[in-house]
Amino acid sequence: MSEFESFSEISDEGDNVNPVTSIDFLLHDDLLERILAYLPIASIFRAGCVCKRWNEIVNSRRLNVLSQKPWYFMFTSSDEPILWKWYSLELLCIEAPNWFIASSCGLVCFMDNDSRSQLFVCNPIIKDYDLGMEPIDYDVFGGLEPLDTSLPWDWDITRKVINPSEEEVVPPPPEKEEEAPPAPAGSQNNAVAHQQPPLPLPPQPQAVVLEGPPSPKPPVLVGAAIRTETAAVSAGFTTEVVAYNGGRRIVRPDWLPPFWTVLTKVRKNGKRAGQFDKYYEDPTRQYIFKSKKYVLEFLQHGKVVKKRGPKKAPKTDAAQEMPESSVQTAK
Amino acid sequence: MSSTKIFLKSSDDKTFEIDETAARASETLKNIIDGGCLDGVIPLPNVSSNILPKVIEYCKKHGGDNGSSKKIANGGVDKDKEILPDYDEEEDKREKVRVDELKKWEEEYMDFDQQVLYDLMLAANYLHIKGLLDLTVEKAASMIRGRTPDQIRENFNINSDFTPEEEEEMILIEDEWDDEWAFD
Repeated sequence: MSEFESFSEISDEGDNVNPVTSIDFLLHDDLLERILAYLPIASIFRAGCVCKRWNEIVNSRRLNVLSQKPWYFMFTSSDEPILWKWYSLELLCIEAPNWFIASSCGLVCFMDNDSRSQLFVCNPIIKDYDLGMEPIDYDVFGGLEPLDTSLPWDWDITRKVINPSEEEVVPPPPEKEEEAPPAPAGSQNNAVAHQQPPLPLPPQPQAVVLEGPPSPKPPVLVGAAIRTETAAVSAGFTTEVVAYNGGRRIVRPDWLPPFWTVLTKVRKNGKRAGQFDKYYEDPTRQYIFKSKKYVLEFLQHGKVVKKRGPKKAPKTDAAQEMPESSVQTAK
Repeated sequence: MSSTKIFLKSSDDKTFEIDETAARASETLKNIIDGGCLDGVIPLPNVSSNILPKVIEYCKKHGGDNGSSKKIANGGVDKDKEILPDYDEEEDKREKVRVDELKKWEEEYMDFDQQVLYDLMLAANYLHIKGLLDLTVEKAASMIRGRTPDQIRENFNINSDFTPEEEEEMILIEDEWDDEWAFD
């Protein structure tokens, strides 16, 4: 490998067209993919405009599975904070205004909220769809787990969640026998997601959260990120990104069991005003814990430090809690 | 673990010494060691003597403690804690100090030019040192992030090989994904 020896003085001033220094010649596809996978989505697409090879990689089906960082699409029609930048993403299949969403490793699964008769899986990066899946009976469906990262477009709905108001009992997470108090029946959004045996969290899922427009007129997708995020989580989906603080990611900690939610709250006053507090909410949305320690104590011993206040109806819940959540006030 | 010495030979026939514990940061070396094929010197025909010391330096730092190096590589957890300074558990504090130190070290460690970056990345890939690979890859990604295709081409000495028609199409895509991506 002579390239390695030719470690001569090569300035990286742009005009120097020495092929040896080009990232293109040095790095094979695997590494280039890795690099690109570290980028946020907009950068990935722009990188695809660099040359043919990069374009191919960007458009390859493998790329988004390799992605190291969560991606987040946000769509809005609201006049909320200016720091939010909104992108529209065309998804051909979105017709109804409301969809349930689950995402994992870049694949997104949609189920329409109204009839619950449509279900499809989409790869938003390459805009590929898998339609015509059988309608399902479940009220809620859970996150996707890719079967094997080397087969990115293979997917399976591995968690099927049954509304706890039905008599059917799904085994709770193995390590904890905590009686998960059933969520208020009849609230679709709040169905408790019982985790079936220890599925590992997807290593680096990207959260992709979309919501249809409130009006029945389709094609423009709109939705507020944290809101749909909350809704998605309340519906039992696990998502990786929890919130953004002015561009900084608050990532879901890996020790947190599936279906737990991370809430963030900005301090309004005091010395630390503007900074974040983070809370963990259990899948039933009954308890909130301030720290990892408390969560683990709860999981191990069922110890509850503080119970959550009276709960609102789940749907308004998602909508109303939103304004408090960090994303909006990111400074 | 005992501090058995391992000897590594670079592509240009220079020999370097490394502790076994440190060497185990590399999957490739670990397999060689565990496979019992340890026969004096391990030749590394893909790694030059410019890069090998750098690799060894990393391994030394990360040899024993896979845990925290992993944490650093994942990047997420410690960032969390920065945002949440009132993480009040002692344990978390100590962890934070450790992670911060490591982070600082990595910052200094990663201060080199592009050519070294590529070589180091290739070496990390070849030797299967996940943490180092992640570090280098992330750094390379940071050189792409937020740049226009033109800037990227210039920075990496890449020539556009699109046809004029494709070029136009690319410009459209480029505009569509114009910067100011809020969460870059």
